[in-house]
Amino acid sequence: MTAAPDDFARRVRRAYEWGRFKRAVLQGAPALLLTAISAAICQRAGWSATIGATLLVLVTGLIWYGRIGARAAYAGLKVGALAFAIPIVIFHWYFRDLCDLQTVLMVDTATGLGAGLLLGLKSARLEARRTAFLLCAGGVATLCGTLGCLFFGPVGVASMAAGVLLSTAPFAVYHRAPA
Amino acid sequence: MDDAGRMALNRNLAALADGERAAFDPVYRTLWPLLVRFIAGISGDRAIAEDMAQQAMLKIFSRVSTFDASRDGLSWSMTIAFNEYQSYRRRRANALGELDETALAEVPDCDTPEAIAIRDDLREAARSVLASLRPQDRETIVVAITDGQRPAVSAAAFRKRLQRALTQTRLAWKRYYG
Repeated sequence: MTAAPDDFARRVRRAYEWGRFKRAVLQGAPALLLTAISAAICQRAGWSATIGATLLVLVTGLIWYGRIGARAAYAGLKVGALAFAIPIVIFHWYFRDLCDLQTVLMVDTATGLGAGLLLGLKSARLEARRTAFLLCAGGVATLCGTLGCLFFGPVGVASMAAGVLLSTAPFAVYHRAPA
Repeated sequence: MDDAGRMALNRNLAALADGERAAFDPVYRTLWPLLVRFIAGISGDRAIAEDMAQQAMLKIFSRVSTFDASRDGLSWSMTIAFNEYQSYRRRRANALGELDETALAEVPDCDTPEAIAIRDDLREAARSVLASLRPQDRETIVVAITDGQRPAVSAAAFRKRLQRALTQTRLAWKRYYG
């Protein structure tokens, strides 16, 4: 049966938003994979689930919103996957017997700095809303990295977050500075 | 639709795919008359066209976030509309098929001359279809209907045999009576 034009336009708008939401959930699925790996190797299932759920909600929300948010979510997930994997791989293959505080600080901060630098370079290609991009992508990448750094405890998490913040901040400040 | 309109539709669809909600109204206003005209053209029925255009519109907007900006928006939308119309036709054909089977199951139970004639016709039709089956299939169906002595096979094997016999019966019925 044919619906009234106004009712139908509302239904179409709902279909549009629902379609975007379903796609966003699917595209946010890597967050679940990272959470599962984190829960398996970091032995802190509760924290992994909490951070993973936050990451999934953030990524889904950003992709659903679209525009700069979706671009930031995709970039954040890509860079965040590296930030997640690098410390684990490095410690597993090279520093198996040298997992002291200094090494954890060094590797996690360096990974965070690298991730932030990559996001900064990506943001430089944007014509507008770079700060929003850096904020959202940095948040996603930090949460991904945090999932990996749970293995190293609070020091690992803090150094990763500090690394991302330190390397993205100059890009944000530079872009906001008047020409 | 002229080239400029087509390009504008492409631009708006790409913007909508990117999450630009302001592009919703222009896309909606552009697509609606095109969809109704397109479906009316292929179905030859204006009332169906409006219903189908609504279905197609819902599908298009629910999938617009997957729209690839390098494709032609008009062709993309019309392909979805055409598929929606095809699904509708298939669904209708299936529904009509089910309707016919329901009608067949309702054999008149009274003793009017028409009811007796219908029953005789159906009995004769069933007999000729059964006669065309392999003896083993025929036996299986008769045993199942009359709850008679089952052949010396397991229950699962009998069920399988009955299923095969019924499939053959359906095919034979279709062959004789359409």
